[in-house]
Amino acid sequence: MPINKKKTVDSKANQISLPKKTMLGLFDNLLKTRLLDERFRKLYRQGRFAGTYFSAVGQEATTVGPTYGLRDEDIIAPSHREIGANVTKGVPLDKIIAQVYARESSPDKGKSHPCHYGWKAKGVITPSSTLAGQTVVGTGCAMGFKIMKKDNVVLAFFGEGSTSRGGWHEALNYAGIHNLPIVYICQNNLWAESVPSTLQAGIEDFSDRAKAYGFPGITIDGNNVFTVHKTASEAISKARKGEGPTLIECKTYRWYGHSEIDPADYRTQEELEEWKRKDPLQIAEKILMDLKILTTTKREALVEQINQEIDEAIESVEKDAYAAPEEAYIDVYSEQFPVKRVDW
Amino acid sequence: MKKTTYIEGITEALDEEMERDEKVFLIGEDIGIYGGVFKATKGLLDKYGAERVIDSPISEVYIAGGSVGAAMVGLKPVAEIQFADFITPSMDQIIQQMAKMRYRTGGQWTCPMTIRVCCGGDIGGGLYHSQINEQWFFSQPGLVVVMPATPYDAKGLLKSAIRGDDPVIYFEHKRLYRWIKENLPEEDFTVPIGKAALRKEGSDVTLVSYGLMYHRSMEAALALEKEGISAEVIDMRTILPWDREMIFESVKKTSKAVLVQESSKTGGVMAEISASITEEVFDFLDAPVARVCGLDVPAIPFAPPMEHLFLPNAEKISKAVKNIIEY
Amino acid sequence: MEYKVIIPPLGESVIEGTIVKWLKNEGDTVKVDDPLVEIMTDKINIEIPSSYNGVMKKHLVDIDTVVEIGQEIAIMDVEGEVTESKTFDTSSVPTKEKIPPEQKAPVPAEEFSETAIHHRCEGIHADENAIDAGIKAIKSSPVVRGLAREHFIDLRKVHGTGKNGRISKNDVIKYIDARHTVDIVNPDFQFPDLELEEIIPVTGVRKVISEHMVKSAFTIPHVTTFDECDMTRIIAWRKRYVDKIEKEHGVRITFMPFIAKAIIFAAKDFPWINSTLEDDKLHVKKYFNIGMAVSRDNSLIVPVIKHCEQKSLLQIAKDMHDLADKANAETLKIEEITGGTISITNAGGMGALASTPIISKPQVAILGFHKIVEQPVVRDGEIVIRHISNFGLSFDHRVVDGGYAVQFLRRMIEYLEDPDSWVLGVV
Repeated sequence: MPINKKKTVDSKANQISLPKKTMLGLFDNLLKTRLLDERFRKLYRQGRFAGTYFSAVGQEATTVGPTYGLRDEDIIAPSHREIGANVTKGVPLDKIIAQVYARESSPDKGKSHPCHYGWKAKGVITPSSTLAGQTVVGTGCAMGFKIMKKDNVVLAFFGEGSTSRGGWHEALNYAGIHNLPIVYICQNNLWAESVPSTLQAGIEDFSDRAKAYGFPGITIDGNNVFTVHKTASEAISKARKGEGPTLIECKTYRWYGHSEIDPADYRTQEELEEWKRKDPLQIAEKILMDLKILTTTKREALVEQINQEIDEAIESVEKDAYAAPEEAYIDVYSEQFPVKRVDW
Repeated sequence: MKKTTYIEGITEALDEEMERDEKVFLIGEDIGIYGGVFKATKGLLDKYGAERVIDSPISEVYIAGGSVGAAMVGLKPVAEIQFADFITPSMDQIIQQMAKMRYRTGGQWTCPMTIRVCCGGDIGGGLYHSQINEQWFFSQPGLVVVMPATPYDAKGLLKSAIRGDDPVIYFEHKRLYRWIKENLPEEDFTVPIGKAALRKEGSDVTLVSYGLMYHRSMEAALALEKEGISAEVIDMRTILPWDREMIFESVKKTSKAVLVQESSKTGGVMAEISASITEEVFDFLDAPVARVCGLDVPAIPFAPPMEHLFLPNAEKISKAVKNIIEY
Repeated sequence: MEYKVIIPPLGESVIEGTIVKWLKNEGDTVKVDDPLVEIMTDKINIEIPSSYNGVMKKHLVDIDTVVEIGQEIAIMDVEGEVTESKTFDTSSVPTKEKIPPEQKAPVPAEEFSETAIHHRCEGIHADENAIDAGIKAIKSSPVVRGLAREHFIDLRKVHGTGKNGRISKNDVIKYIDARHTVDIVNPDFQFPDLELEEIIPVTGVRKVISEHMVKSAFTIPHVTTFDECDMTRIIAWRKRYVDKIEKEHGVRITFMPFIAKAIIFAAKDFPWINSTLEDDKLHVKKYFNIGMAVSRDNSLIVPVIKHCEQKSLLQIAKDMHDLADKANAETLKIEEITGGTISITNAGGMGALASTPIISKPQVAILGFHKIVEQPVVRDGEIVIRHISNFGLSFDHRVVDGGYAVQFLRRMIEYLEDPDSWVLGVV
């Protein structure tokens, strides 16, 4: 596959032909991700859960697009803003919500972090906070698939900031040597917490980095879920066939701060407004409506249905208890090595 | 039974486990074509092919983290870090991924893998080829840390590490590779992780150590025996989680303990064991717990007289024992 | 129903904020997610959305007020039930799996006191005060302190062989061993080879006694003084412990070891009783080698139990038993019948009510112990039945005055009449 860069980030570039079912499916997941994300932001402000929250609003297309259509056995190696990948991969809503609420019913039993979603049954790795950490692990998963001669693939998500990490380079280098079945999705949202991408690298397009490792790097509009899906799907099927990895840079933007307590005052209001006009949800909506696949009524019905699902799941999770404090002693090792308990 | 060196024990364990379970594969620098810089993986590339004996690029982050990923999808990786000195780039992957995978995923994902780390001084390796840094990993719950001292344990512990369900940092001591030989059984055997070995019974003092220092402790114990001092010698074998029971029971019996460790004293494994002894069996102590450790300098210096000064030996251990016997 | 609006946690390091603006005034209708209030923190300005539909009833704080996380800031009337999210409820998290710490069963007081009695009846065991004082006075290791308490040791009496005389665990173990087996028999001693030496017939032992007797009877001006001893309490003590001690240690404690101890205690104030008179010099002894007469078929022999002051009651009983066996087997060695500093003879065993024993030269006193008889005696104005024995003390009137001897005997009897006081170490 040639290195095919689209330098512009034009949300109107929608000459994408996808099956109607796929387009609706993508929209459904995009909408669900948005509604859930905004709900989490409110629940946080209402004091319904503790810790902090990392919103992905504005950049959902970069996770929903590549993930849609993956198999359960395919692996997602996420970072902390991949709520869309979880939703799209089919992680149950109550599992995602229980994670945020740190309840006993959470996949991690409440041990890690509100936004460290992961669910093995759907192949989503619970992430660590060291950025690009899962890029290395995900590459190892791909190595495993290759050694076992399985045709599963890995999707590794990270921001442009993570590409400055040494381990990131070691992983991509290795994937290049061994043609591993992995697709790297770089969500370039221009800001790594407070540091602009211009202070992160001396290149404009982070996909250029792939050149050094001998596989294609593509930069695309990360706010058009259909573009993202189509590009990623091609890369995924290539990887599945054993033809090696691809690095896809999705230009996008996060609307809110790094976390809910970050006012994001390091960037201008104009920049934010400009990107809000390129809202991935609205772009998808418009395309679908132009194609007559979606109507306002249908959209409203969908919103209502999703909100009801979310309401029910939240209600159920809020009733769940925290795990007993002694859960802290569990899953340090296999049962062979129980942890010595402290008698406080 | 056949005479086997420590490094041959390692090679045999790798070979037998690869033969036994096709999920076992090796990754590391120079381990394939070259057979390892110490020849621990000699012959394995020819036997098992390049997909299971992988010559990695110089990428310690990936060697560790890639192995984590492979373990998560069902393989049994055995990674090699050529020198313990070079493990530092891997630390993020070892601490944040390998050690915490089971915990942070609520037990959904596990990390059954082994990292072989070639370590230790007394070989004139100098500042960057003699390091022994087990204490970094000792303070990270979630990891299993072992350091065999004999060919039998080298083979048996490596097999247990590979077959187990937990992430293991397996320290192998360079000085022991070809120094000691032992008759090993022909049939398959393993050495349990978490259990120390009582190498010599004694009544006056307990000597606790592992790796090369076990041999130095035993030399000291045999010399002391001639002077009428009866030392009990424990080889920890597993450093984390360590065999509390055996050490405490021995100290309860002898009321005196000398703890021997090759790495620097401050913040070392023996600091923890010393503290635990005073916490758990204080009432049985008849003298302060003594430590004989490497110097608190950045690493083992190169010039032989400095290396000699750095390292504990039988003489230094005997002196420490006599000090607390006379206490 | 009424619902109190609180300040939610606003990030890891934020502990307070300032009310910037009320976005819902009192009386305003509120829908779920409507912003209620704007809070300013040092990190971010944040609008707090409503969790419920309802009406803003009352603001509890004014604008520009600093509020803490968790503080109630307004009251709302809300539709339906208020549900709680358990975010803050960490203080009262139910501990499902809480395992109560294993309780150590307390040692029953009675059992402990019996143990203590038992330990102390074994010999010169230190009492609590002495143990504590010893631990305070001597710098020692944890294990040594533990052994001192466990074995009733006054550390001041233990010889330390460590640096600067420090007491080691081994020193204590040696002390304990020594306490049980005071070295009074030199195991290396070889009886002279009969064929190479002048023959000393077995009757030689008898000869030695007779020589002593003759010398004693014809050189010492004997006086015997009598007193009555109420043995009721010591009989009760024996009854209580003798079987238990025999079961544990294989020795049946008779009255003799008690008498020996009573002599030792009484002699503290009357030291001349325990002495020898040799060449016009009175050797007042600081130790007690007590001769105890043992009857044999046709004679009486007085083996000597050495250093009774260092021995437990049990040990004295054991020694007596051993020496009696040897006496019967005629294997007593000379040193086992010499070196005494005072003697006891028990004529009571054969039924005697009184006797005037002959002093074993060069000792200056011998105590005769006689049959214990139940007798009516007057106690507190009432006639009661008590176990009474006569004690006769023969003394060398050359050096011991009558008053001195009478008082000694009285004092000794006082100890015997109240065994609990000293066996427990209370006195």
